[in-house]
Amino acid sequence: MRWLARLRKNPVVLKELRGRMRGGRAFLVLTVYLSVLSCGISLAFLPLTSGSLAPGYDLAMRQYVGKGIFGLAVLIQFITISFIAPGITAGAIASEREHQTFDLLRTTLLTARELVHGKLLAALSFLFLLLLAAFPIQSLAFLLGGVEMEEIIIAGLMLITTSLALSAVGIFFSSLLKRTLASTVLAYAVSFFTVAGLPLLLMLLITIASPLVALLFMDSSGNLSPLTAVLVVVIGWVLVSSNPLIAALTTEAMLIDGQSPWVYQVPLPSNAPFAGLTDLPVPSPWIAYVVGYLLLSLVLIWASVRLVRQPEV
Amino acid sequence: MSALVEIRDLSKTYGQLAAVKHLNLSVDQGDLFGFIGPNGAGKTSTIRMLATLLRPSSGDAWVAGHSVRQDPRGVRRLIGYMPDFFGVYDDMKVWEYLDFFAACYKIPVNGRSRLIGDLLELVELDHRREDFVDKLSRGMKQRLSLARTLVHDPQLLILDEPASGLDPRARVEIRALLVELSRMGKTIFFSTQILSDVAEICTRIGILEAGEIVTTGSLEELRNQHPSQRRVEIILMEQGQEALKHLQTLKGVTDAQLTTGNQSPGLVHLEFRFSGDDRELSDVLASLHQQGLRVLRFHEPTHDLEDVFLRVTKGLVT
Repeated sequence: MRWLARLRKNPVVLKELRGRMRGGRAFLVLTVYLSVLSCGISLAFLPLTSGSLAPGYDLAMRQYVGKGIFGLAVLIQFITISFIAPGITAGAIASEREHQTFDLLRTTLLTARELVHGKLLAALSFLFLLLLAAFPIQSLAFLLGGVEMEEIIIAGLMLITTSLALSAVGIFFSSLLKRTLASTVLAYAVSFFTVAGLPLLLMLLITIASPLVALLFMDSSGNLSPLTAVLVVVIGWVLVSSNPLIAALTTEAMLIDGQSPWVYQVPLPSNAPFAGLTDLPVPSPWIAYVVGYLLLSLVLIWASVRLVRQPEV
Repeated sequence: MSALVEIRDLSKTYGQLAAVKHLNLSVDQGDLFGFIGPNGAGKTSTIRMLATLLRPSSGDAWVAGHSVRQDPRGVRRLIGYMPDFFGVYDDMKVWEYLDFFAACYKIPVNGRSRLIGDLLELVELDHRREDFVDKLSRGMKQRLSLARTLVHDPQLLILDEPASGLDPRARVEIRALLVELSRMGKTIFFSTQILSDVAEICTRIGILEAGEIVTTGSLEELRNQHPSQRRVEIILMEQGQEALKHLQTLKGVTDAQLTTGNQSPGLVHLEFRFSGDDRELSDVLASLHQQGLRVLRFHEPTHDLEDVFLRVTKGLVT
């Protein structure tokens, strides 16, 4: 808890939050975000007001719609975070340099760690505000049922991880580059690649790699060797786990399929059991995503502190 | 007097360019030290090294025994640094600006409100406490910046061109503040291009050129080191021509001439160069009186530092 007390005492947090919440910008962002969320969920509710989904009809279908509405809300939150996190962090340190306040801070007793952590915490506070503000609208999905507690927790953890990771990317580029513009462009490029580029890359890889794998590794009867089958599964798992949307969708598919939220049993080709296993157990994609991106965030935060600490040479 | 700042063999190079070359300098406790030199002389590099913002290429500097190389955090506790620009947080109020920096210096929350009030009163900005910083004039921002350097009650103020770009009134206000802070016991090390300010308020002066210290000392010491550079102005009630002729006969007097300027009617202005000490100069005044010349004013303008400066510098840059 000492680190929490230290963060609360961090002057950068108060300064950043004061600046961010002052004026109409934060209010506008929150209003637009909640409006989009409300519109999306209202549209998803439309089928319930008429036709076969009206009250008293198929319970399973209502639960299915409930899951859909919850998923839609989470998707909108993912997209919002992907847009906002780089925007509010990419200028965090670079703008101090541009406004010529960086030197003033460096001659105080504020440490590089306090500066970076303060900027990060202030950005995360705003992102968490967005997530929390959406909860009342999101909870409308619970009226229909179908949304399990584990789904809510997994979605929350993935959203928090995404917020932290994209903020850490923004802070890192802001510490590395002197110009806010360059830092913002790079932070958005990485954010876009993570959210949208990786699925495209995955589709491209599947399209190109499938025939290649078949050509290079399948025998004449169209079977893979056990080792190749395991390698294909592992590479696929890494790619699936590296993208928040794909990881979330795969996890949801597993849960609907009745699998454990912790371990995913990937079926191996029936002719190629590996070490006697017909299914290869791998951690659920959401776990890999959360752990991987938390580690990446820690590395980026550590690197940012190092960059900020370096004296001018 | 003990030295608060010791600079020993300090150098800074940027690639092939040597901005500061083996600088040796000491500033005593309580000094109001004016650091002057042409553009590109290495003043800002020296100041940035002293403020722990720039790593020296060689040599070291100590503030109250704390090395800028080995103990930058110890140095930061003791210094208040003001750069030659005003770092603006557009969205902060005046009191919030000081409160933020007080927090950065780990000043406890319960003591800050009073501290901020006192500092704003000192720099005469208490009436602008609730205004946003970007609404202040440049002079006010500079005064606020000076207040910022004081939030942790440092022993040493390091100011890089504090009067740069200010209008005459703001310049006078900053100058008065520096004198007041010096009177309060602060040691002040500041760079400037405004020689008249240095001559007027500094207890010691250092002249830097092409990265090297050319001379240091009080204004008196600099004058004595370069006696031929003394310039004296006289204002007489009348009899300008007679005074001029008499001055030209006196030992040590050169370049005597009648000057024009914003003279009052009926008064005559003269100036001359004098190579001699204070005693010999007083003999000149006595001689004018003996001639029956009615001397209204007889003085060495403080900006004769310009003469010293021009003499000791060669217009070199790094």
